[in-house]
Amino acid sequence: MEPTFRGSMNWLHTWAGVTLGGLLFAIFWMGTLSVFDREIDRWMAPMTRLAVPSEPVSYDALRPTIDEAAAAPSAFWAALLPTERQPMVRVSWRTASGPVLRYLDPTTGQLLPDSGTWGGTRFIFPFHFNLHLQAWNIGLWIVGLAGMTMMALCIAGVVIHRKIFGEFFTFRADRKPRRLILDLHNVTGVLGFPFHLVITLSGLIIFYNTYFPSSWKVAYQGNNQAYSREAFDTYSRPKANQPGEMASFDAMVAETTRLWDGDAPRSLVVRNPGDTAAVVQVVRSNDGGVAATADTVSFDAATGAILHQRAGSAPVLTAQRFIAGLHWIQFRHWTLRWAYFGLGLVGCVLIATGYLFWLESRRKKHAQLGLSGVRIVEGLTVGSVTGIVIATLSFFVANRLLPLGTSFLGVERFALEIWAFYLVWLATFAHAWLMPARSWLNQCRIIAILAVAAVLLNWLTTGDHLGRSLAHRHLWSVAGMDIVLLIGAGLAALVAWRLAPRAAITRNTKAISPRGVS
Amino acid sequence: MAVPHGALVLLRLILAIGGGYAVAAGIAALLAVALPALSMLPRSEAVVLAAMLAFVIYLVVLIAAFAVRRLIHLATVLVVVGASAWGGALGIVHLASGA
Repeated sequence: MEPTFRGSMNWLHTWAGVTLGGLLFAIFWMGTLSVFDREIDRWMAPMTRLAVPSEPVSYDALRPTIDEAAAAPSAFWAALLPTERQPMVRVSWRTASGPVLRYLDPTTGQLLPDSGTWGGTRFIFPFHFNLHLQAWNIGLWIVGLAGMTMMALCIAGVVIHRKIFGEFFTFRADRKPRRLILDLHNVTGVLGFPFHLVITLSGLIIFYNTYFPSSWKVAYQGNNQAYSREAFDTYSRPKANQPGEMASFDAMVAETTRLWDGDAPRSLVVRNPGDTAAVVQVVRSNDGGVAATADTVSFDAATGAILHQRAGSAPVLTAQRFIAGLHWIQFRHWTLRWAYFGLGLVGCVLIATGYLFWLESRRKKHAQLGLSGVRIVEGLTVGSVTGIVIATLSFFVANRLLPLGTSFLGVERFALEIWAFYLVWLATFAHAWLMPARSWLNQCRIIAILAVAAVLLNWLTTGDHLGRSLAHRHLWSVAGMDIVLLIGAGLAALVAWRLAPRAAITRNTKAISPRGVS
Repeated sequence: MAVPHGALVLLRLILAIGGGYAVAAGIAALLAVALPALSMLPRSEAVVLAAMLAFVIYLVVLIAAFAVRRLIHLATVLVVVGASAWGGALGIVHLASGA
């Protein structure tokens, strides 16, 4: 590309960063929020702010929903059991008209009212890996390409940053803004480097079967079933098409607890519910370790006899599951969870300052030559950075403003929240391109206002103000969300306060020479 | 003959992203069938290992694609490596099913 390797890497880093930085910021931002996706769920769905049951759940109380799934008829019925982070039972199956998802109170087995929101686990988390573009997996492939780009950016960044150890902690906060931005980009890049590389590679490796299907397709000549059986030790048996009864759930779970030295189940699955050949699968909880293992015992639903046991996996697959688990953080470790959140934010700062450095290095030159590059990229940056934050906060605020059961022009409540997100996000891009002079300043102000509004609205609509949520252990997820919102509001206000004099100067210069240089 | 700079950049992007993917996927397929033949590694394990390594291979190809100065060199290497990997993978499958 360029005469030297470093020159080529500089070109690659610059242009890959400018073109895909906005997408990478969105993926990093949504991934960072997904660290606390279930806590966001608690905040957005107040009817699920329940205490973790002290008594073990009676699994037989879930029977009515299985009968419903059997009547559909659905090929499966699945229940995720309550945990500290998700204190209710999440039941799902599929009807002819689409998937069904229900939340049940774990102590009574009663259906919880519809939350009318996709919240963190159904909107923010899937956005992180497929951008909600599910047709032909297009979103997954776009995110995959962005992930490969992120790794190339990391490598190229190390190559161009020759004095990597000398500038390890160089941070000149008192110098010119361009120097400060580059220092911030370098410090976040160097300190966050191991995390950014590992989190990106592990994110890609989760989907190895989708991204590199050539591997299994050639080795198994396209026979997916043979591959699943050999690699994942999956068990299945055909439907008998005869209606059948089901033995006691509780007895089956008691049997697995005995087999697993007291470990509780994480989820229950019934294959072909209502059929004589139905299979009950109990999956072992894995929140005590990193690897995303899936030890499973399969029972004959009618008799409760064990049909098949899966325990552990072969070494390479175990390594893959460890890498996937490293990315998913489903283990119980609050300190590490906060570390992931912080490092995710470091990644966001890294991407944003990369953009700012590109802009600051070209601002004068582009103005002199009358080029529009800086103006276009600045709009893209503002919309990608502060814009997505505003859109996310609007999603939260819309959640607290829309009463349950609302619909508008046939659009359901959960979809209205999502519309609020996308429309506001588009508006932030429009604002940044149409009113570039003060777009940073004003969008920071909007962030501060919306974040405080979200906290106040939560208080007004649920009564769970910080004093109350901090006092009750089961409301700590709500308290955490409120505190992060308030800190975010404070930071945004601080940035706005620091930007205000600069914006005023820009405005005065414009007033003196209205034609400017371009 | 002056080729516009933009066209060269576009061609390099296509070679790097598309060609690089084809090469990485080919090497993944080759490893998935060659490793069990050469070692004690079970087939399912070779598949997982090959697919995981493919990400690293793709990354190396991407970086190299932007470092190589002449596009013709890049294209030649990608075609030769890609064709041998895919040819080797499908050849081994053919031999194994024929035997």
